[in-house]
Amino acid sequence: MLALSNLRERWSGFLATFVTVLTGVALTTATLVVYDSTRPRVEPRLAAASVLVLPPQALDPDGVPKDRVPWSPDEARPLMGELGALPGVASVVADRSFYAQAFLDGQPVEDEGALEAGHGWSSARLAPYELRTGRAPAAADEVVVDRALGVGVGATLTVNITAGRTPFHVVGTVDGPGYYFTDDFAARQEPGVRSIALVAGEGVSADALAAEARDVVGDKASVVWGDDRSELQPEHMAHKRFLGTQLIGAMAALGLFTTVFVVASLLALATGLRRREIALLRMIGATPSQVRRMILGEAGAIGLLGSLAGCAVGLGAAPLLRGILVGLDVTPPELHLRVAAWPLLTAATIGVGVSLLGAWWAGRRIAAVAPVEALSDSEVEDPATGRTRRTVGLVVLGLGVVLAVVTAAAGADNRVNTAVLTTMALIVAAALLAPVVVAPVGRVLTLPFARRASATALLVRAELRAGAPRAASLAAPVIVVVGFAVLLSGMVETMRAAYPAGAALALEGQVIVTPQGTPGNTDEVVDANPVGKAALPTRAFVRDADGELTVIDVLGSRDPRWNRPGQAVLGATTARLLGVEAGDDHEVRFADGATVRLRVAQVLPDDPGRGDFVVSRELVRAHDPAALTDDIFVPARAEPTSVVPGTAVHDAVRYALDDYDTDARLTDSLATMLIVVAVGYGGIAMANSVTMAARGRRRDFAVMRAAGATTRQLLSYSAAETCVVVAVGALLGILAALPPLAGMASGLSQATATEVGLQVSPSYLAAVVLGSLALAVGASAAVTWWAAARGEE
Amino acid sequence: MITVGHTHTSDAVQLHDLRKVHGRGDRSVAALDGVTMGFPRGSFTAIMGPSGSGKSTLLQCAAGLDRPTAGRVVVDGVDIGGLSERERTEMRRDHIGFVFQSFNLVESLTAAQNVELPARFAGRRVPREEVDAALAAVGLAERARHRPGQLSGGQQQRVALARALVTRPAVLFADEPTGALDTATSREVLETMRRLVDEEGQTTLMVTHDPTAAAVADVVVFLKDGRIADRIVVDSDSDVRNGASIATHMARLEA
Repeated sequence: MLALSNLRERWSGFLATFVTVLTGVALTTATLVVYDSTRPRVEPRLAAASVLVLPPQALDPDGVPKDRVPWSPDEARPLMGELGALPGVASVVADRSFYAQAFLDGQPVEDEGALEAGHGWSSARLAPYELRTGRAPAAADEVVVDRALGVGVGATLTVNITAGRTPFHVVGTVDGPGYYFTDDFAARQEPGVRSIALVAGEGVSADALAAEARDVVGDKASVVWGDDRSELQPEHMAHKRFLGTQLIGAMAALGLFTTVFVVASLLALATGLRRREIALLRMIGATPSQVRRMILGEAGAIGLLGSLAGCAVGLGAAPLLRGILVGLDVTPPELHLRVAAWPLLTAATIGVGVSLLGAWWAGRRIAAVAPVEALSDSEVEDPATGRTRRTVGLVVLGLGVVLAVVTAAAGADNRVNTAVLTTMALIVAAALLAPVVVAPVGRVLTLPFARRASATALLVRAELRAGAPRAASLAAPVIVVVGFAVLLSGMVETMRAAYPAGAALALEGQVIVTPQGTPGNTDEVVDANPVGKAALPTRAFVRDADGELTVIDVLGSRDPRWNRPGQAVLGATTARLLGVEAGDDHEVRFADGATVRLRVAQVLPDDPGRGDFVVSRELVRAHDPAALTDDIFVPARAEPTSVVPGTAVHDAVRYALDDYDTDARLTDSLATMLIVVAVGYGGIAMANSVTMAARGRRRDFAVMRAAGATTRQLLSYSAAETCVVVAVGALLGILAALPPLAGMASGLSQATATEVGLQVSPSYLAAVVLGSLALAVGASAAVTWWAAARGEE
Repeated sequence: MITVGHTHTSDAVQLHDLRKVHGRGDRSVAALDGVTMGFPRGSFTAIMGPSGSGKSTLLQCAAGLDRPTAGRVVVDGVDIGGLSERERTEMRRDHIGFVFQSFNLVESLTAAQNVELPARFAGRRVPREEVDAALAAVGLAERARHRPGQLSGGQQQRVALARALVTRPAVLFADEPTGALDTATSREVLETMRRLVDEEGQTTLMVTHDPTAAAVADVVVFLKDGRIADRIVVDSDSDVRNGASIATHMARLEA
């Protein structure tokens, strides 16, 4: 009864929490709905493949299950025989995908999925794609193509494959994407088997077939059917999805963090302002647990209302977010939003959970308020900041410092995430320790005014000392806004300085042959550019020091220093991972399923330009016929005179900048979106808490008016106080962002082998701080003016 | 009648050699310095004294809001010194009523809801008629659906009295109940309190510095420096009722 009445009658006091929960839940809903919609779906090409049998996964160097280990043809054959003998199976297909891309009029046909567009003819029955015209391929130089390509039966078509541009006879067409060669040809292009597809016989259900298959393969393979078949997805989609997931993941994490943080500080502030009311309840017989239940009840109801509204707003915002992601080209093609129940339920649960958690934190001590406080004339603030709060603050601070060090050591993939995590930890620490810091720092800041005759300086300095917890609550959102704004913009600036510098340095005096319209350089391109670095990358499997099968990147090099048959050159980190030294032998399993024993010729310091595991180019080509070559780095003196179609030749420095610009566009948008979230959200919180605090002080203002203060003096007082609090918050925010930025700069310096300084744009920083200041002072002035005007009635 | 120096088992509240020391060592101040007093059921006692005489401390200790340094407090036959925090809360809820100078009511609840709140905390529902009867007893039957913001200061105090009344407390503690009111509304509230004592037999203990307010009590106890300095029995017909002689007593004490 009481909790609901409180909500009904004092909605303005709870409005701030409501708005915060609403914003947080809306953000979470939108990101989850989009995330859910971008989850991989079963490829149309595999629609009729009832069951997929996939080889086991290897771990990546961090111990996370990653690539599946392709079966060798000899391993796959008996397995396929056993599976084919199952009663429910109509056909068994070793499903192969490899690079194939048609050239029309001498130019590559645009196809994002080209890297996996080539298949054996038997894969066509997995869709199934029926022949529209012509017949199945029967010879190695025959191909069946998509009717949409516009090439008819009988024509000769140039198809770019790993070897280079090759003429094929078109012998048939189908209504589906891809290039279908003979199965023998496919097996030569990609000998390893990454997937065995089973087509169920008439009247056999996929799950029954899956169960049968599982009995056959035991733990030698995973058996998937139904929606789980989406695990087999084209690499280019997986990559885009990864980028998109990174972005919305970061948004969701930031939104969640800000919600928890702001709701907790708002509820702490609101509850602190209700000490007298709670004391009254205690006086007339409420037990601490009843008070706690009341506070939790209010927060739960507010959380529920905010969550419901937030879900609605989030659903409305999801298409907007989708639009942004599509604009950034980080979504799989034809992304349709679908609204499932789980994103809404998750977001709403988070909303309610966060407000309950915040209320629990706020109510943990206030519930035990001494009833006698109801008798006292003034609202007394909680005198102690609390040992718990300080202890937790120091622990989180320590965690933040550790994370800052980790940031410096983190690899490129994790650097941004650890930096964000570090900042979160330091922001929480700053907010927890703010009551201790705000008074002394504020007093130092106001020192120049202390000797003035004005009452404002006197009041502000006294208030900072007496009302430290409240000042800290006001500073909290400022810490978040400034902390994240500085971190994210600094991150972009620092990376902008680091990457082109490092890349350009390494590329001085070279030209670069890059694929254009194709996913990589074919052997034809490599042969046309016989001088310079032309790394052939592949994924290979090795036992690490603990004997676990681990997937690593292996580079085939034609550099005479490393191009030695039977030998490998390892980076120090990889050597440590595998537990080997120079002179040891180690086995490497390649994409074709063959295992080769290599001698570790040298262990050298890590160098991304060389590679972590370098072998001879011929070795990689022999065991991974589908691999395409990376950019070719040609010394300027050997600059090619002619350009192979499907490639372009660039000046190195220009290329580094262009390459960076592509990355930068993504990073910039990511940072911009996150800054909008953090600043916008923090701004709402800031206005809310300033308003709430000012309203709680109406009585102080009445006393000051009675003591002869003019409205102008009241306004100048509250503005001055807000300024000091914002200044302290901004200072703490900057302090929270600097360690992770410094860690990042040092990490980048090592990675690019150039001196990278910490970059923060002063004008940007000024804009954020002044913006916060304007917002907070505006809000507090408005409420003060309103309170003062009411006082005159 | 009021007993000073010794107590009877029939008393609603008994204070035995009550001491309360604030602070420690050299800086310690004895707010109460050995007070023994009994308040019989159905009596109306006013406690007066200059600032710092210990009258508020006395009330807080007697009501179980503050723990005395030494001595015993017995409310309705129970020694509250031995009670846990929870038991003290329940004791306040079920056996003690309170009215303070201001901020007596929960702003978000109506007058009627405020009246039934203590019972709700005890997990009981109070029948509508009882709530209405309690509000009628303080003359606010038609204001049951109003919120505190819509009531005058005097009306708010009378709602607080109704709330105290509905639980049938063994004793009603009032701390400067008229301190924030003007003369006319003061009289309204004091008359209501007097009527509750006369008609309902409500044991009442009121701290006040206003001689006019004290004049409605049966007995006025004067405190000075944490000790009982004097007591006057108020005759219903004498000129004491106008508060003049009480004011004279006060003046003498403060001198």
